[in-house]
Amino acid sequence: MNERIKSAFDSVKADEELKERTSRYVAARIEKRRPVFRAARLVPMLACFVLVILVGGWAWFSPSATISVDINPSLELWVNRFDKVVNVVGWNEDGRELASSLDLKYMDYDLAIEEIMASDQVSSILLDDGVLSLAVVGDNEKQCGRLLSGLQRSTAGQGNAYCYSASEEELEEAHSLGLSYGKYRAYLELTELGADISPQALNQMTMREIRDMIDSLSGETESGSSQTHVPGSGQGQGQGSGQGKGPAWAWKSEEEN
Amino acid sequence: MRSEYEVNAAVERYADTVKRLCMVHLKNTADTEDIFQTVFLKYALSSAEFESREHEKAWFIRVTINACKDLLKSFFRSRTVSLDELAELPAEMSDDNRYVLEAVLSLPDKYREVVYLHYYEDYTAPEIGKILGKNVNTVYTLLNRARQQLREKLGGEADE
Repeated sequence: MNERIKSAFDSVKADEELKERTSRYVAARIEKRRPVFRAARLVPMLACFVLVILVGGWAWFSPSATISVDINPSLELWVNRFDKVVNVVGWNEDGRELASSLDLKYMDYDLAIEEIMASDQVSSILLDDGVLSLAVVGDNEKQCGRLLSGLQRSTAGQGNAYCYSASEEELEEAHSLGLSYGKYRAYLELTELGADISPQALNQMTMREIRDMIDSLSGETESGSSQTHVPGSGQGQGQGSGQGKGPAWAWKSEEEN
Repeated sequence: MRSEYEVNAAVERYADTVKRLCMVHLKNTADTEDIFQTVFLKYALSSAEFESREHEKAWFIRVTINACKDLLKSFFRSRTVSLDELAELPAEMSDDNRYVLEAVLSLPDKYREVVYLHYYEDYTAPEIGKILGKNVNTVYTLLNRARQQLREKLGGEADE
């Protein structure tokens, strides 16, 4: 019986036409599916890739805070949300010269500040009793607080180093006068004290010269300034709106004599 | 996804097997063509790796049986096809072969597939159990009953 069953089933064959129709059908379906499959796999992958690149690039390259450095070279470090320097802008001749002589891009902000202070141009001024003003400007309070503490640490060994924070609006105001933020504050102080000086002239002065001028106008002496509070911009100092119209606070290096 | 070449080769290798399984489970040519398309498209889209030809063949048998069962279960079919309709047998078949096939196809569904797998494909009861997802003892029972019924219809000794 086994053989009879075998032989009976053996006589059942798929005809050539059926095989051909099946092959054609499957080939057509494969053809249709192939590009869909590729697209289905690649499009979301590419979209995610592009999104990651765009978002990452935006997060990396867009500055979220500015550190204004004034000594006489006046320059600004634009810092991204990862506390890396993404751009360096000189605000006067010395500042531009210093900016081009140093390679600070994509460096941690504190290392960049240390490099600036260690540069021949700045270190010689600091040794000569120069005044260094460092202002952190930005809308992200958390980051600004972090940058400010970092700056305090970086300048802890320096006398005459002033660190403070300020608002974006003040920075824009400073830029509209062609000044870095540190110089802009000094300019406001001087005009409040009645000094007749143009922003352009002030921009060429060293911070030491400006500080001396302020001190002489306000009747203060430099030697008695160990606890000198860095004056604010006059735009709401002491009664800031919380958005930091005036300086959030001012700090002076403890080693200053 | 497999290439057209691979699919064509598989059609050449397994078309007869799929056809016989269709005959065991289904009644008409249109359904057979549906099953062919379903099975070979599934093969084309499958990424299953086969260790051997035997493994590949077992995959085709399992997929074909499942496709046939799905088709039989479908609402449309259950409403439109008469259950006692007999499968169409090839016209050019010898009388004895026709007689034997008619005997096999007159068995209940569950007996037909084990008869085919055991007597034609030479699978053992445990192998059939694996392919059909059935208990081995159940397969033995099905085979015994099928054998008895076939003996009655065809005479002589099965499994000699």
